[in-house]
Amino acid sequence: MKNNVFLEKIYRLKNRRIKLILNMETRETIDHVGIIVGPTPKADHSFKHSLNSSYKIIDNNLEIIISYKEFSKIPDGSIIGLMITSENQARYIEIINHLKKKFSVSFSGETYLISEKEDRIKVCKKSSKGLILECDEILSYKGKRFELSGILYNGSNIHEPKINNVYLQNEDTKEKVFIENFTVNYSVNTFKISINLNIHPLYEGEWNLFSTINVNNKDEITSILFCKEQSKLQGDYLEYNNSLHYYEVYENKQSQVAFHIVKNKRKFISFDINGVALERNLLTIQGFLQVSLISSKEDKVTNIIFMNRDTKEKVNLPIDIDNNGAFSAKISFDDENNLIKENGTWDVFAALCISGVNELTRININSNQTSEEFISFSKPIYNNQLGFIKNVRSYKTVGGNLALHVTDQIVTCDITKAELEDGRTIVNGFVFNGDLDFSLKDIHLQKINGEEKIICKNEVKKDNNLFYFKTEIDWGTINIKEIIDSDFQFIITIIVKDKEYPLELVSNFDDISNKSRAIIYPLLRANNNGYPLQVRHFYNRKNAFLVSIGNTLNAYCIALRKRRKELEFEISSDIDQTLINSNDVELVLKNRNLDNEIKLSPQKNANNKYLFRINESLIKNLGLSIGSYEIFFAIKVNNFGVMTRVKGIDARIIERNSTFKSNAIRMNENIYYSLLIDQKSTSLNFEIRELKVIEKSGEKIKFLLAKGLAKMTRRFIKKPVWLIGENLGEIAQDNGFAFFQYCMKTENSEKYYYVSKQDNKNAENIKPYHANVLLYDSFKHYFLYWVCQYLIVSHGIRDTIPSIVHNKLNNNPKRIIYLQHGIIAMKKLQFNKDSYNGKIKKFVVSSVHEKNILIEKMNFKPKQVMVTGLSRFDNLIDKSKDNKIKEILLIPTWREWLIDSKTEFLTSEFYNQYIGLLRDPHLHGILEKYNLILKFFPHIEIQRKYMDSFSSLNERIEVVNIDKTTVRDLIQESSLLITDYSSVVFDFNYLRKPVVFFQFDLHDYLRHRGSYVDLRTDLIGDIADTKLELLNYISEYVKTDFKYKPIYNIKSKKYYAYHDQENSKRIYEEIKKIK
Amino acid sequence: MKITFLVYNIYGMGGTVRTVANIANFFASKDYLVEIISIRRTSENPLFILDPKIKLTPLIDARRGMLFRANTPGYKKFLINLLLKIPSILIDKNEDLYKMFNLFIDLKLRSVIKRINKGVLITTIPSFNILSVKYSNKAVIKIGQEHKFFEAHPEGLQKKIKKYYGKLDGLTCLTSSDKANYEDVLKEGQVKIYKIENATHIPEETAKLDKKVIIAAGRFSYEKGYDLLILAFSEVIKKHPDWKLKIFGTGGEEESLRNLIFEQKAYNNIYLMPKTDKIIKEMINSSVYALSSRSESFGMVLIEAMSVGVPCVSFACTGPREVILDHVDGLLVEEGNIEDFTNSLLTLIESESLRKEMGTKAKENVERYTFNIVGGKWEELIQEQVKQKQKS
Repeated sequence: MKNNVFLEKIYRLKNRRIKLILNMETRETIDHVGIIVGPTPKADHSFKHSLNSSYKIIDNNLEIIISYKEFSKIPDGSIIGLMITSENQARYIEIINHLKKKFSVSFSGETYLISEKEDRIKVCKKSSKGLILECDEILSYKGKRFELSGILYNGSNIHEPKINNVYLQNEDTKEKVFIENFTVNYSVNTFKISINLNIHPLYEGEWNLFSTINVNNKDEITSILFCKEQSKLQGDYLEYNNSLHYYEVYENKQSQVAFHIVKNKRKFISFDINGVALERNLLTIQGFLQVSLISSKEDKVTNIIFMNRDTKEKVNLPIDIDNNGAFSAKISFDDENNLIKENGTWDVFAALCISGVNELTRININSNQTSEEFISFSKPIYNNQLGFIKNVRSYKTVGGNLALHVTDQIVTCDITKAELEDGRTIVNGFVFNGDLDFSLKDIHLQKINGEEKIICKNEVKKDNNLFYFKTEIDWGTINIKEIIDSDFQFIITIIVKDKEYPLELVSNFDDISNKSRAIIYPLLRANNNGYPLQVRHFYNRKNAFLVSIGNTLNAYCIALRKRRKELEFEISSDIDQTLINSNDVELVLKNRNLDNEIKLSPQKNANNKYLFRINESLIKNLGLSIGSYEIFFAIKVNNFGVMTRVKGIDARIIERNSTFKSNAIRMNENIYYSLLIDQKSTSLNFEIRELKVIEKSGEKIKFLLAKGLAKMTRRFIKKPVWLIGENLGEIAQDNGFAFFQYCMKTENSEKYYYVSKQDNKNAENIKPYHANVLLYDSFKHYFLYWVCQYLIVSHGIRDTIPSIVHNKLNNNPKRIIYLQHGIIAMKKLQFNKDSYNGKIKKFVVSSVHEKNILIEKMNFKPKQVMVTGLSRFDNLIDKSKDNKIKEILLIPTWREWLIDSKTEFLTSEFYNQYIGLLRDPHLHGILEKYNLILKFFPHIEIQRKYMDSFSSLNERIEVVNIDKTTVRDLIQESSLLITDYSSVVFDFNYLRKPVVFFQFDLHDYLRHRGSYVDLRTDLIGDIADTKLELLNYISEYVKTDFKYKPIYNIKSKKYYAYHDQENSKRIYEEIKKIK
Repeated sequence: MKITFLVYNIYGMGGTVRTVANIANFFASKDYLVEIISIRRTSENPLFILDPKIKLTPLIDARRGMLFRANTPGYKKFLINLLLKIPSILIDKNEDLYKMFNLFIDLKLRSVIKRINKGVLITTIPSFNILSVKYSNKAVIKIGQEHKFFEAHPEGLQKKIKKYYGKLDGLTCLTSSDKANYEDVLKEGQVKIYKIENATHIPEETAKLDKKVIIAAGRFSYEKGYDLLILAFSEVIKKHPDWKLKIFGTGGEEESLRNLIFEQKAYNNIYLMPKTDKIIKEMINSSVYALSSRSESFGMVLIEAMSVGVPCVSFACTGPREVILDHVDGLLVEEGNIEDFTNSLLTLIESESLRKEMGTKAKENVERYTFNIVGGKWEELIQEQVKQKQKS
């Protein structure tokens, strides 16, 4: 064995230990290694002292670990050596110093130093100069309390130190929490600190313990050191982000006492479910449960919870548990508070209360003993007060958990026979449900999306739980006024405990899961007092039984000719299968946006064919304006006006006339008119409009010319060309423009063009760059499109490509950089990596979290995504501070499910909540008292349709007109944002200004839209469920002068990786990295 | 050893496709190198599950918008579009699928056959068999498959068959009578003729035969005789209005079949169902299978129905005659005799015990079409042919 052993490295470990890494070469088997210290480096007989240590040999490396306690026994000036035992022989081995830098460690008032300059390992010991606080005992108590005690080491030149205060400071937000409860005994130099986190709840991040000490008349900040052997200690549980967390105290990298909160990952409950049953509206879950780790008597399972998987609605079941863990939970659906209203999947949880926090654990039924038949049922529940009925099925999920599936499928029905003859519909079938005590009242037809009903003649016979029915409609005798040209559905009304429930009649008895294409009925004709009625019976894809009511008139366009100055077409028509030969026919043109119908008479009638002509003078005479017109054929039958849509019938005629271009005739300047047959519906339409770019004959040539020119001149164009744009070239205020501005200002290696339409809304912004602004669809645009290297877009590829290729997105040959127009988080999107022909080279995101959404939910490849931050963030400036009158901004998200009818809008919860807020006297009071303005900015659709519904508000409430200001200005100017789910928050929060989320309809939003983040826990602002809570938050913020809460700095980390106004620069650099 | 199949569309449905898929899977499981050349590709993946070791080579991608790649140059598109419009010269005009071929496919087909230089080439329709003789390499063992008897082919094709089939190495027929028929026609050639039935798996499940459902499946074409079936079943309903007939398929005759159902006022009982890839499951949920074809060379679908214990009623064409043992595991009806067909259906409808008896027998009797038997025949054929080739 060689005598030389080298010390390569030495460093501190956690738990107050030191590690030495030595290099030695040996082939011997080593039995033991010990540390020896003494005044000389030799194996002489001078006084030597051995230290307790542990060691490990890996190849040629020897690792030795010594505790601080042992290390402190080394006398000053000692030299460290090794005592190696091998083959029963102990030998002293010298260590040669190979350290590259000096090592020092301070504890318990002493500093130990090993210099790299010495040949041997010499330990010098000195009293520390500064003051040291060492905490050597930490205890955790229920009630979120920690007791710390330790020793205060006075430094060599310190006299009469005085501890002023003790505080915890968050590493990220720098927020301080002062601990009032501490005592110091200066005579024996000990201290005690009592930290009650019930009073000072902490949030995520590292909270380090400091003390301000007055030393020699100066205040010094000192870390309180962690001097316990085990490196961490679990504290009490708390609720954070709606889930169970616990406090933990630990030693941080600087050996300091630190606190943080940790999400609980343990499962505390195990289940053995032996029965889930639904009997007479009472649902019972029975079994055994075992709770591990209960720290106090108050910790227990409090109830069972059903939670809807999409909307997160909850229903609570009380639970009874005996001493052995046998439990039963019951819920009666007769109680209207317990209703499971929402269709879909409901997961089942047990709620365990730990230290006052509810922890939800899914109920698992993986146990072998639990047979599926004991937990599976499919039965109806109902509530007579509310007239509510649903079917509930319980089952075991793929993951082995208990779940419920709720549907409207209450009864099983079979339509055995539909007799469609003599103008009569007779439907025979049966209905049953073995688990529901019900009777069948009647069957009728209900208009789809309407109120009208058609009463049927019913015969019902009960036989062995089966209700056989025969329902009859005589189409000849009913009043057709309200029913013509509409669809009706068969509705079956059942009675449960004297209460009527109307249900869809769904033929679901047999195994045909989709009858819509399998079972086809012949058309039924009926003479209704002379009106030629036609009824079509059909199933939809869910097997609901419907009828469509129309007439027997058919009209077909059998010829269509384009003449020089007119369009000529022939129509043949039949009714009740006989060709029509009448002079009392006309064409009716209907425009969806106009109320009046335009009528046109035939030119000629011969051989059952009607000839029509349309030309410019006729259009003028009829007063037809620009637009699209549906064409109907109308005749008089027995004094009834009967009308039908004109259709194409011959495949060749349809194909030849399927585009506007095929028959377009120029009228004046650039207005054309044309007839076309829609290929899908085969309906004939008349249109008057300008030609689209792609329909212009010259345009294609121009485009090809540009392509040729680009090919020829490409080699002479030295700098690569980048086309940048946003929102179809209609605006210049978003990421596209911000990035363009950056490139123009800072970079010069490429030619940059901003693609803009003539009437850009932000014309002012682009004015300074007019030489680099590319007019949408100009020849230069075509040319540069073919030349360019990248399309850099904000909203979509149409931002930069000419209209002529808009319908060929899937063939797009150009590489795309996607700048994005918001942060993807609160709204689910339909987008994936293959969009745009898979040409997206780079997609801008703001954080790793967002990158993961793209990769996991939209299948992007990691290299397609760049974490840089949005361009427009670079230009955001907070202008609110200078405002004398502070502004509050209120921006609700658009809910497309509230559209169309005004009555629906006015009765919606959305309208009522917002109008209630805006008219609230308390809000007006706050605005008045603190001299504030509230700017209300409803979605453009609401502005357009229902703005008058928001009139006559307080004078301090201003409804923002989108034409007069930009969202960006609003963001910059205001001090507080109130929204629900709008991604505007990410711009607002970027400026570190507070946000309050007003989420009164979270369940609805989740059902309609869905979100990638948890809208309860991941948001960067306070959440108010009610108007009252919202007003409280508003006054809170008003009183703190809109101070941003530090916790949201931490929550923001998820959404922004950078905050440095270099987003555009990073994007530019990432683009340049693409090969 | 490499085995190449040439088929029209391995991505489609129907008996031929299933048979090829079954044999190809069998060979792949025996570690042969298997490639299937499919003229067309109509979906992302074949409907029948294929061994992942099998190489698929579609000649043209007939899916919407997939014919050209995004960057196919314009002149090429123009040329291809032109070729696609010119009728085929390689495929015989009498071939059922003639209209689906064109000059573009001809060119691709010719070059793909010429490229095969070793192993076995198995071709599935007469025109392919002929092309195999014309263009493939001498070293290749050329096996043709024949599903019809000789006289069933039109005269023009008959001439070609006489001229070229003799130069095949092997020809497989489905039935004994077909084999005898071709041995007679091709007695001057060197070709060896085999009888190999189409093979199937016997599923574990067996139909309970308690549902009042009769089914049929296949293209809606004149040949399949569904019009006859509708007429026959319309008579059945008069006695048994609670029985239903489900016909699975698609095709040009749909409209006229639908009108016939309306005419017969049988729309409550006869359903034209969209084609399905779960036909076995549908068979398990039925009680009788009805085969009403005007001609059927083999009747793969009968074997499938029988394999889940469903008794069949069928017109006694060549194929069914060999598959069904009349009054033992099914009922054969004189070809075209609708009244007898109705009566046979009634016989089975009215006796559950008879259905069960025949169903059980049927499941036993189709054992001869399993891979153990049929696969063995194919392996024998290949080995014999390889020896033959080595000799010469």
